[in-house]
Amino acid sequence: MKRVEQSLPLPFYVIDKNYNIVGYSNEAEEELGLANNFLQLLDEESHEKFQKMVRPETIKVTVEINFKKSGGEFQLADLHVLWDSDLHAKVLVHLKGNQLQKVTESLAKLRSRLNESNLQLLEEKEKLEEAVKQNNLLSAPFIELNEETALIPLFGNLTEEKLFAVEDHIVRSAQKEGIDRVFFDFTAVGELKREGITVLNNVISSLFLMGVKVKIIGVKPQQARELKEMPLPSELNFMSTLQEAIQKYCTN
Amino acid sequence: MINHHETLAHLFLDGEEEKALEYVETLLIDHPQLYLFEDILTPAMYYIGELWEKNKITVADEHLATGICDFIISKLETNLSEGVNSSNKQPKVMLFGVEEEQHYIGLKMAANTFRAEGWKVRYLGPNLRLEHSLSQLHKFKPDVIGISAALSYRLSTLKNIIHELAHLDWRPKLLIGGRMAKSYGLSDLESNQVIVIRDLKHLEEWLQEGVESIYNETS
Repeated sequence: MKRVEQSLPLPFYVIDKNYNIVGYSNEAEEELGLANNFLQLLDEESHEKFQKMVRPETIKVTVEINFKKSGGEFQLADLHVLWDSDLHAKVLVHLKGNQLQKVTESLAKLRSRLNESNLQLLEEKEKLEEAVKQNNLLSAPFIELNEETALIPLFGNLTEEKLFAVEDHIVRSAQKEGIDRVFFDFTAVGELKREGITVLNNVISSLFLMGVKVKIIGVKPQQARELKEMPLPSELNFMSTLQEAIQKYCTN
Repeated sequence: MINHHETLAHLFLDGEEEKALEYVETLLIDHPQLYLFEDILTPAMYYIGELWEKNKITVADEHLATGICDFIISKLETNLSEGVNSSNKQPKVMLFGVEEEQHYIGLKMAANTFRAEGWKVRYLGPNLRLEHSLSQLHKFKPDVIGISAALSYRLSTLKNIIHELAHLDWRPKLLIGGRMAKSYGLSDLESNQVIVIRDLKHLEEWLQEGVESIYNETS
């Protein structure tokens, strides 16, 4: 192995057909180091590519390859290879690690920042969902008017989600000894959703099975038209105002 | 027969994100997401690796392709989260890549696979220091922790992490994935608590069968 006489301002090697290094430039030694065999300088994952691409049959070739670096890292370079004969090749190394690495690192940073904002958004979304759930739970308080009668004023739009949230609470509360009549007050109800009414229907059926009578109060004309189209038990009773219901059932 | 993965790989390499998205969405009409991930996107990324081996493309091209692939998966993720309703008993998973691990496409596909099964997912990304993931883990308390590792010289790092995470007080299950799981087997790391996942199909199988054990233990 000899130091080549004319020094190039780039890492430069002369290798034989077994990839043994037979010559090198100052820059090669400084920037990439020395080894007996050129493959020893390369990242292992680049060996196959190098062996496939760099062979005497291909007289001139440019190959992108990774060089080993201390600490398990590697650096990317273009190799410009020219075979003088079947025996020897000149290899000029153009390291491009710095430029690409900088871009790659900034991109990775941006990516992880995007991911962080994504996570924050996700957390906020979950908080919001939790708030909606809480809100749903509070949309059907179970108020005991006396020992036999309870009032459930419903609030807002009757969605499936909301009724699922309150279903359990209503049925459990009605289980209490003595409760044999429940008023569902629609005064503060907004829109009726078919899926929501289906769940309400299930709740009312459960109450019936438990021997609890159900009255629907305060249905607005528009809602009444809609309710007619929806699945509700036929034995259901309606009253126009809460006042009327209280007078009838809660005063002795 | 059309080679979907090669066609898609070339759209990635050409930076055609809209066309790639259209292509993927067309495939998804007739196929499940798992097919797209396991039989199209994964082979497309391997194919791109082969093109580099053959000296047909540069590392910069590969980065562009990875970026587009990332975009596609993120896009599918948003489509997905709209459709899934959040019931009470959603199991939770947190996913991250070990420190210095830059490969993240597989991890992201795993995150979407969990999502599609109705899990609550926290994807922290690749190259994460253990302290950082630990603080997130304590906050989120996932039932399952998914770790990705690709390169063999991080085996010791991986072992340390597994050791540390296995001792968290709520005893989460640890799933180990990534190329390392595929090529090294890692079977000596496995236990009741630690499961090595070979690929997304394996993950899906585990999700179908293994989840019951999580419900049983946490309820």
